[in-house]
Amino acid sequence: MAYERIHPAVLALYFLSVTVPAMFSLNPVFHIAAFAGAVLFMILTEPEPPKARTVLWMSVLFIAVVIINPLFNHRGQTELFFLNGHAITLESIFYGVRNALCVLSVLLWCRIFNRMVSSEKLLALLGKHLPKTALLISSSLRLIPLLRHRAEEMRDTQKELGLYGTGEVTDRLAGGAKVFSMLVTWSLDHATAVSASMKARGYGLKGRTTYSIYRFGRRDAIRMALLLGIDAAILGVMASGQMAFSFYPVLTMERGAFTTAGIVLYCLLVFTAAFTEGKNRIQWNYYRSKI
Amino acid sequence: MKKAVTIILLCVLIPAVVIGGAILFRDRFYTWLAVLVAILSCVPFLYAFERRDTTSKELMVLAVMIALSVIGRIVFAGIPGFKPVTAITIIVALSFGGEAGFLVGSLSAAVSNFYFGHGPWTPFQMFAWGIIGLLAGLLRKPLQKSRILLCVFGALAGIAYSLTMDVWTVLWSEGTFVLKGYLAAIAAAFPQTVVYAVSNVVFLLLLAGPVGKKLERIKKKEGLFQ
Amino acid sequence: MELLQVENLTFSYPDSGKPALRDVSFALAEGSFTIVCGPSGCGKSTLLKLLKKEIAPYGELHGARRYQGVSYEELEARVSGSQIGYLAQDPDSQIVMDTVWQELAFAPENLGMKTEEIRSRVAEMAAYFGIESWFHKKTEQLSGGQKQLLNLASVMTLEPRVLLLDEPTAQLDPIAAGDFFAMIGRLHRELGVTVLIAEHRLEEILPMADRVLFIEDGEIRYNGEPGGIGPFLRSVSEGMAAGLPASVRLYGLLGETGPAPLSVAEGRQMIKRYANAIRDIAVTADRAAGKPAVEIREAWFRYGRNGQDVLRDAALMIYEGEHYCLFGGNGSGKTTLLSVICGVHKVYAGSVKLFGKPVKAFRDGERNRGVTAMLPQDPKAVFVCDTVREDWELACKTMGISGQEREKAITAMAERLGTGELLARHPYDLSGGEQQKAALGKVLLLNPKLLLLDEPTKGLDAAYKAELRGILKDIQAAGTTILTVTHDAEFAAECADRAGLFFDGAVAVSGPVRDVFSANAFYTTAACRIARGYYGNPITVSEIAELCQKNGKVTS
Repeated sequence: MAYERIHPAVLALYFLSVTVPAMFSLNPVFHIAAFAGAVLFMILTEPEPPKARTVLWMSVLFIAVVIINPLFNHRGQTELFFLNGHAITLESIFYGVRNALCVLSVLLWCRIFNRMVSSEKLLALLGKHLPKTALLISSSLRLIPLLRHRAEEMRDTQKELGLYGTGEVTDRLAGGAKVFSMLVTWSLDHATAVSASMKARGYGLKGRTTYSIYRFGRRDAIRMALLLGIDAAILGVMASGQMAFSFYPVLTMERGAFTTAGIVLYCLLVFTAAFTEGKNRIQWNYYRSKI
Repeated sequence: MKKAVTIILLCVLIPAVVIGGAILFRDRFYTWLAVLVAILSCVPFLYAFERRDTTSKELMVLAVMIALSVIGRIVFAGIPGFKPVTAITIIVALSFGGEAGFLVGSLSAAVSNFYFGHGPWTPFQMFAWGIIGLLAGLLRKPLQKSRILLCVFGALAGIAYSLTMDVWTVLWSEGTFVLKGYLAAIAAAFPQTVVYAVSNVVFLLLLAGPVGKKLERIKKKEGLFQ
Repeated sequence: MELLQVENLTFSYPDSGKPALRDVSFALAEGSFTIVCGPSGCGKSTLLKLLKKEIAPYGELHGARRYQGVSYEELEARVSGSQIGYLAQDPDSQIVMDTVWQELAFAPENLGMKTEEIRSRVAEMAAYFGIESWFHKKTEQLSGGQKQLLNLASVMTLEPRVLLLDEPTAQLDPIAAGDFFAMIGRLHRELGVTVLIAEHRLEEILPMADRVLFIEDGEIRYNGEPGGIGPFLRSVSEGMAAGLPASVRLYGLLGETGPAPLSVAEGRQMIKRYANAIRDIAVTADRAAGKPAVEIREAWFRYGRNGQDVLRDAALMIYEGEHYCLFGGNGSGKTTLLSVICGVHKVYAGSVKLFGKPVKAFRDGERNRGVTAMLPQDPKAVFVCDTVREDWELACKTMGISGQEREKAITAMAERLGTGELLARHPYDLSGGEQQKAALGKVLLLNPKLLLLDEPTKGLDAAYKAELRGILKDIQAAGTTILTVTHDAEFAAECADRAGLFFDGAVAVSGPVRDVFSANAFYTTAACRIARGYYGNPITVSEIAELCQKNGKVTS
């Protein structure tokens, strides 16, 4: 994947560049573009199609958010019908759709972000400013599969030794509590042993540094500069009010000299990820065909 | 000198960011403010943690407690709202103090989201669980004495957590803070709020005694978090 | 040049009557390889910890420890931290970070090295140790052997001059242990690292050492060349002698003189001094096969619907009253087989029968009462209470015994296993061998007809192994069937009736212990490897000695 060669700081900035305008603006152009960009990227990079369950709950969420707004918000000029004495307007339905698109597109981009920036990349970023916290998080991440494994071993052994008795709920709860309690003891013992190993390797000496295998190269600097430039431009257009959109009483979109520029820039941003991956694929296939 | 620069920077930067957001985002201002508050409230504690001397043992004990609460969240993921994270955070705060409680609470949110997925909700979870830990630490003495008080605190913490997360829900789905929307979100989340409160009480009752005892023992034996 | 000096070191733990170390004196020359051995509790672990300032235990200390002439009390933290490396037994409890590369960077970060220097150290160590292919993996995904190698690499990033290794392979299977020793050997030969290693597994490292320290009861009883350990043997008790490599023990039994053979190869040379007209040990007739205790046919099993098959058309037959040992590589599925036998997991095809009854037919709970009981690999998993007695009482509760009867059962078991003083203690405070016995006690209180043991000799010294063998023989004599999963061929040779090799999801080879070992080239005892080709079927050192003596020396 192309994004693996990009420095995590650039990836993080990219993610913010895409989601901040989407989250903080009312303009549906942002949401539609963000959604499209995310879907395109996922089509290009996810090895398997999304699970039915995921699609289902996302659809449910979408519908729920769409419905909620018209039910509570009765502003808007175009009245479609009446429910419980309140008007359900076209504008409020559109607003609901916008909300749903916003929620969904941010969710999708979060999924993409979680995959692009793994825990070690995030920790490498964090380690520059909060090294001890990063160390603490890394230790916790290391402990989770270890303690789960331990818990399973203990549970299986105790099941076999008859601790869980007849399988009734009270027996199982009591058994589970005992196993958990012993797990805590074991974990605290483990903590003592690991801390000795840390001290033996010099932990506690003054002047601890933090290492990251991710090198910020020239291309990363260029990417960063470009991103910041585009962000400044988009935010500038947003600040000038030329990207404003209002739903009530009528759907109106502001149009100014820079509106188109703002939209184009944002679309550029949002589709960059998909475009980069697509280009990467084509290049790869091309090189392979030459072998 | 460095400290003075940092303070000035913060005093200038924070209002600038807030005001900048107000101008930039107009009606999305509440969302901006909320995210900012969530992030900025965690920052001083994390920086204090970085600054102070932490022994390797204290670090590992915190890591263990965070891991246990994350595993708890994973194990009970099937039942929405039923998780031992708050209970474990409170128990840690009772034995080791408010700062430790804040760390375990907020970092449990951060670490568990490596499994459940990070998103704009992360700072809010970190904030909510962190503050619960901090408060539990401040109220250590009375909470340790009375089991009933502890349960009440747990229930209230569950409700407070739910209310905080509902703020995020409404900010996100509505785009801004609308009181009616907030009330609707609270109503919709009501069953889950109840489960939060109940699960906190259940886990506190089950774990406060045995786990608390072990934490006290290791605190005394190794002289941690004094 | 002497790198490390210990002079008249005497140390007592607080609240302890007896000193753990008494007047210990020795020195490590730079680039030397020294082995410390001795029975459990002799003080070798304490000695190693005292030589690593950061983890030295609290207590009453007399005498001097010096590194490069500087006394430990004055030794700078930075020097002590980076130039003296320490590795403990348990691979898991030394890993701090989530990914391999983070772990490798951990120690240099502690020392405050700059990014570029850390980058080069990490890259070097990863390459030297062959870690490159798992560089980006999560640490928890590594095997035990890989974890311990990672720990070693992590310590080596600091380029220490001295390596203190405290039973580093006790928790590893023989192959991983071999890899680890090979790496230690490389570090010693190629980098000139001074090594001080405490070990029970002497077979592989004795040939590498230039000095052996033998400690008993906190005192050094032998400090000299590895070859000289032979004559020393004669004055030593059987318990300690049992821990030495097969060749050395054979040397002792035969009353040979001169430098002792240290490796299997040298042992093979030694037995050539004897004739081999008589090649076989007289074998007593096989016990008449009784009814099957365990009958597995065409069993298939996997974890999860999309996992790989762990058991593939597996078959196994174990008869009542016999002791069966199962061998096989790490992760081959032997533990899974055990879990399938006791019903914790269920096969999706094929059948598993216990004493003629299908495992499926046993309802939850019924199985434990008097049919099967398993001692897991980690005896700690057996305990859920704060004292051993409470755990034993839980076992009695499962069996439905209480009150007077319970007290009698517990006292009887404690006597049988020799665990009287352990009952009031917290199980985690016990030593490895004590924990094993306490866990075994709880398991035996369930009165099983079939006893399952998963790697019972892991990390135990020779004396405990002998004790365990005795206990198992008694249990077997009382009618219990025993199935042991183990890597320890010597152990099996001494007490098993039949053995099998587990491979590719099934039992590949199965038969009387003697036949299986004599036919195998690797999964067999060291004694067997010594005698292979020269004699026919001896599988223990005493059997070879018997044959040698019967044959007499070669008259040239």
